[in-house]
Amino acid sequence: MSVAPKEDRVNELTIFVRNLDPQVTERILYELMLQVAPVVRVKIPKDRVMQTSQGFGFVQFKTVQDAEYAERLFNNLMLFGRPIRIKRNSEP
Amino acid sequence: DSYRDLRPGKLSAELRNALGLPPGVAPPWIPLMQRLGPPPSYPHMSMNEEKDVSVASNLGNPVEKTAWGSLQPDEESEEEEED
Repeated sequence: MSVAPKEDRVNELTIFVRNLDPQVTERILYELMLQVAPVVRVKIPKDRVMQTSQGFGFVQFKTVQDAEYAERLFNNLMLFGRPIRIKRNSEP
Repeated sequence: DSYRDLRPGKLSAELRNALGLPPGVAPPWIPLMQRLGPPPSYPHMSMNEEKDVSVASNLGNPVEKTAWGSLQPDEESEEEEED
């Protein structure tokens, strides 16, 4: 009963970042997002076999307002010459 | 953790490289940040946080901006007179 609301909450706090250059590390993404808000965690999932970035990642913030602000400020920002695309995870 | 050395308002060489941002140049999001207002979690953040940044500090003070703007027409009209 309490599990579903908790997951919703995490989704609201998380942004989905795609079109990431392979050179974008979790540390770089963390530092970028830290410029606008405290970051709870950053994940750039790696291909299980190749251990390479698949070009997307997730960043979780402490508040919904932080997630919204990061989306507005950093959507289409160029990293290694590629525009990163950001959507809040809760959006359809 | 390993991110403990990272600070808001102070970009590492690694992040600057990713942004293609030379040392001393303001981050590209500063103009948008000035329009949106400070980040919700950093309400007192100066929008020209980096001390070595000239672009951001020029934009920071509306009084200076007006003074600078008023100089430009004078320079232009002098050029026109010379022509």
